[in-house]
Amino acid sequence: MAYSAEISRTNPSAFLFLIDQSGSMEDGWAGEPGKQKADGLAMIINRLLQNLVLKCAKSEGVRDYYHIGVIGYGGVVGPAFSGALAGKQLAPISAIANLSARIEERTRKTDDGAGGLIEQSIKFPVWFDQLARGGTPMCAALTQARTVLTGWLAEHPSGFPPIVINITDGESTDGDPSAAAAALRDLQTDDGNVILFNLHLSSQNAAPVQFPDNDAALPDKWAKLLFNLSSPLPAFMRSIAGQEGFNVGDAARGFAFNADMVTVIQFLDIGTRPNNLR
Amino acid sequence: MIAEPLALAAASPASDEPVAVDEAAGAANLPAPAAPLAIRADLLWLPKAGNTVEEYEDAWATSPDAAPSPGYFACAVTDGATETSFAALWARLLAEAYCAGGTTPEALFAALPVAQATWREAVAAIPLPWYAEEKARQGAFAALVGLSLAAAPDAAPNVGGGRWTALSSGDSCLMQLRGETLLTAFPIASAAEFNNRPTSLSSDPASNAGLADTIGYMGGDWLPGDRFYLLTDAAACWFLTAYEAGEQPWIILDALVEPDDAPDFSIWVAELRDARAIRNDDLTLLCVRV
Repeated sequence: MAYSAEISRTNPSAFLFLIDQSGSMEDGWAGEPGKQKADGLAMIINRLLQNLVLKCAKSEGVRDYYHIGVIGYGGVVGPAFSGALAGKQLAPISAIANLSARIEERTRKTDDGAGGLIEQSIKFPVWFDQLARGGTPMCAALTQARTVLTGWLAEHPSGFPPIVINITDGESTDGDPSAAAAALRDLQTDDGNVILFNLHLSSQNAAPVQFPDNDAALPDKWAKLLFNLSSPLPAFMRSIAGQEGFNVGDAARGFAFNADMVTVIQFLDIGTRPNNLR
Repeated sequence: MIAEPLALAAASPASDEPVAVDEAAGAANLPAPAAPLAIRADLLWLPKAGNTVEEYEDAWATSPDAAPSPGYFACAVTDGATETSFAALWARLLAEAYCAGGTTPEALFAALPVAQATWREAVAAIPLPWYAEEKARQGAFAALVGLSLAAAPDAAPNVGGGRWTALSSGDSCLMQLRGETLLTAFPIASAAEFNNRPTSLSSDPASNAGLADTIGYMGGDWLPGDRFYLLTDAAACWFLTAYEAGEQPWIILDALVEPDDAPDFSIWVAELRDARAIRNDDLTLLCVRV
């Protein structure tokens, strides 16, 4: 059965993020008024990385269940981490956890368990700030992702298949990305094909959409294109999504429109996750 | 690294000596059960394959020497949730809270604040990086199944049987066996009901809001010769899968807990794991025989 390989420190999986750093990302983002799409992207990639780290964090440290890479595409196409992670195509998640660019102190209000709210100080790691420069070479980014993962798959032929999350405004400037996306989705381990998610950040003021069954309700050609590049959600993810209370159809694709997609981290299965964990 | 199976207790009313167990495996001495119940409790446990003994996050406990009354025995098995931190500590505190008198839903919820405070204080004493701090803020979670046995009033040891009650939160299970008959499977009676998203008791009070309605609580009669198995989820799912296929999974468990000539528990589990007949998870089986 596909997508049933156990994810462990001896048999890890991989996450590769593709982040659109093109000039068009300076346009306004309908997901949060007053912000640019580039701001939204930075917030989302930081939250995705934070949640992935937390998924793997235990009392003694972070367990290397995943190898993580981030490819930026805009003026250049290549590994996007800075500092000690600069130039790394893939790094163990424990290194990602310990090598953020900085850690900000933020406050948030939370339920005190007795009917009230208390303000808590929390630490929020930041790996990426907004960057918007150049075109949108999405074909080149997808092709580079394929190269990176081809190398990783040679070393992990039986692992749980890598997941790629492409975060973009969809306006590819180096051609139709359909063929490059298909070539990426065709990569596989013994346990199944690479899963490609697309997260569309748009200036279009339309309702957020997550994991739709079809492209009928999507507001523009860019959204429809990205939907069609996205992998169907595997049955195991649909099953966990259902247990988590999400209404996900049998034909759902790994696509989101102006939504943060952090929920996808909840769909990963590395062991018992209490359903009352907040 | 695989831990040796651990035969914990072969206690009887005649024995007032606690049974020493393997301290290197992180276990504690178990007290002898209170007279006049003649109880034998045997424990088998193993960490998830690929994990160390220190990473094992199930726990267990039995009622302390100062039991509420003679003829009373309580025990519990708990399963710390993988995705939460400091779960082994919480699992132990929860098992101890049950055995120290939290044997009804009301009594358990009354005992939780002390256990939660103990957990918070222990975790707060450790300097933590940002991710561990956030995980600690989310709290630890654990599934619990507890069993309490009481002798019938004025009965000679085990002659007349008695009453039992069980409490559960999450997917750890109790099986009651009489001879070759499975009398009770609690709180889960079908293998198809297991998943990786159980509702579990938390060290974070806010996460337990509304949980009282999900606590399972039931009772029944026991007769001399009955066996009770308290199983964490992977073992319980294997048990029910085999039972639903027409097998008698207790036959191998009964053999495994025998003190002499028992099959090797770790080899048996490794074979099941290799055949994917049991989920790779921490595994705990507590057998109570009356």
